[in-house]
Amino acid sequence: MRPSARAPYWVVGLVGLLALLWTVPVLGIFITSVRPYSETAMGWWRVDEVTFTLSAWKTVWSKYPLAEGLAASLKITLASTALTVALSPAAAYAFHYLKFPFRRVSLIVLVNAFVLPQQVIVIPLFTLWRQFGLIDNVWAVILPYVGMSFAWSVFLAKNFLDDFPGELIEAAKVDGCGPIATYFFVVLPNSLTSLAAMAILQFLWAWNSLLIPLLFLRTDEPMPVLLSRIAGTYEPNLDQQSAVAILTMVVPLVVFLALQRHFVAGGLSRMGLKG
Amino acid sequence: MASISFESVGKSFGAVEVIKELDLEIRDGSFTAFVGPSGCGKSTLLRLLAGLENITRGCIKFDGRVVNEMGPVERGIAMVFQNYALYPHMTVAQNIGFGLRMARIPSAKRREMVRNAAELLQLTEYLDRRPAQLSGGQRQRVAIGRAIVRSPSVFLFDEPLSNLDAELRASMRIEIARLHDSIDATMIYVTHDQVEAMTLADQIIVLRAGNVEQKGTPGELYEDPDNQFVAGFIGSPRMNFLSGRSKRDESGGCHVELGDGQTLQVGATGGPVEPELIVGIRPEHFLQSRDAPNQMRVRADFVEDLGGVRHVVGTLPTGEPVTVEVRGKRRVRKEEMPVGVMPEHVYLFGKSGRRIR
Ligand SMILES: Nc1ncnc2c1ncn2[C@@H]1O[C@H](COP(=O)(O)OP(=O)(O)O)[C@@H](O)[C@H]1O
Ligand SMILES: [Mg+2]
Repeated sequence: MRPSARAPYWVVGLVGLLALLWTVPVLGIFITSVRPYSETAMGWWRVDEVTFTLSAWKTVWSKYPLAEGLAASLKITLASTALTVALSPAAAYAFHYLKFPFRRVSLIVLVNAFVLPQQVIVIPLFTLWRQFGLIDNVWAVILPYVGMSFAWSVFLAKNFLDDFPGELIEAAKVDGCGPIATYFFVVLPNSLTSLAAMAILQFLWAWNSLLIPLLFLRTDEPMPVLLSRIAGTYEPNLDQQSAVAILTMVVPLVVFLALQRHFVAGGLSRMGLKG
Repeated sequence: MASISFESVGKSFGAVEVIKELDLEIRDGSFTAFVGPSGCGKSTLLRLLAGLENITRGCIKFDGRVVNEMGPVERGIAMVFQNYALYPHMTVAQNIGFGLRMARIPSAKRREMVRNAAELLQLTEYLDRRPAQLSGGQRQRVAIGRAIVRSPSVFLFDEPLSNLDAELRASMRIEIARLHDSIDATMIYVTHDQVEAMTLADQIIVLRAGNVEQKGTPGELYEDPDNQFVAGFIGSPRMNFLSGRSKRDESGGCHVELGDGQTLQVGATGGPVEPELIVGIRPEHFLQSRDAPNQMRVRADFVEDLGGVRHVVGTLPTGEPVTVEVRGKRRVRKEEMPVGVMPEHVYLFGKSGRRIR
């Protein structure tokens, strides 16, 4: 897919408008974080008095365990992303190409976890984790992240496999691959695009989750929980909230920018299957 | 090397019966082509042979051994897929050597085998490229290389040339024929193109809707088709079909009356003849001579000049379209072209399409 013509002006305008919708609040947060709260209380765009200060940044850094929060966030997010990316394509492959009892039913059960909102599962999960003594253990968060991600990630991988050329899989079979070898030697290396997309989605979702770590974790609190704590204090600290919000936002942004070309690139179009 | 036999083989996908009931012997070392229109079950048949699909009924034997439950490797087959099915993430060398790697052949040995295969197919300078960097013909050769490198006993080709342009197709056809001469594996080739089948195979099996319509050598199918389908499918341009009525004369000889009342002499027909007939004449069997028997007048509507031969697309007085092949420099006049045909070149078919001999 190569752009063949200039986009019409209305497209440019629309995209510009959407970009503006996204960037203006971000800009607002940034400005709020580097001006004294007194100046921006009536709105960050007010320019009656403009002072640049890093005091909010310094305050939050000394007052809250931000480094630990970032580390906790990274740990939880990376672990659950890695597990999702490792497990769901394999599960989708099994559902797609292997025959085993209750295949359809189990797929439906798995994917239908979609319709269960988090709020419904946290209470039973809480009692379960208490039983196992997992409260305040990162696995109490990672396991549900991975489990809940299956609903969409298996679905995503399965959709990709539906379009995966069956001839390649048959060629692998003729070359002597069993199902596992086929998966590792042929399917996975040609699925990197869809794995990257899956990784981005899971990373963002895990990074931004609030409810589950808020309930299950005490010591290793990830960034969104810290942010909610800062927001929950009864003092006018919008500047501090903004600083932490930027810290929270910056990691997923970098990840997204690093992987976004996989999002955009068409999966199998580069594979050169057709003459 | 392996001989293959099909015994009452049937294949259904759910309620759809794709292969009806197939009994067939394929000689060791032969080149057998399955031809038939798209959707007639050719690929399915090949996949049954490869062990990529389970058969529903009957059994397949390789060298007398039932292979129904065996996978492709156990059967000793190699397959060239219609869309090549090269692994996009591997280089040419890796593609060719992948089967060997799976068979745990040591890498030094493997490299040598890959190099030999590449030399045979003139791929040596492309060994480090990826499939996306190759032309269609080169990809096709890699696919063939991947098949020959393991010296299989049976080669399966699924329409291997259908994605190539005409010129490449002709040259790849010759390469495949040469390959068959140089290695003594049994080759099974599936195509919808009768020219490929006629030029490559020593046995052709014509399939239609999962049934074998006829099997035989290319010559047998051309000279002596069993039915109208085979007669129309084999030969290019295709046979002309005209409707006629049978007429017996006093001496017991058989004539056919065409729509406009003209009678044609036909070769001896011993058996019973239906009153309503279909008359088949190949374009190349028309003779441009006023002395030839069975004179007919063709109005030439259109001439396709291929250089050596011309195909005259015309109309008979009955209004039926006919194609006449004209050789040499003879002038084709627009209005009326007198042609004749030898009685033995007039084929007769019943209304059901069965050949009347
Ligand atoms: N996996 C399948 N499930 C259901 N029907 C199939 C399947 N594979 C092939 N068919 C059907 O079998 C028929 C023959 O297919 P195929 O062998 O691919 O034909 P050909 O190769 O001669 O064009 C077609 O009608 C096709 O729709
Ligand atoms: Mg086919």
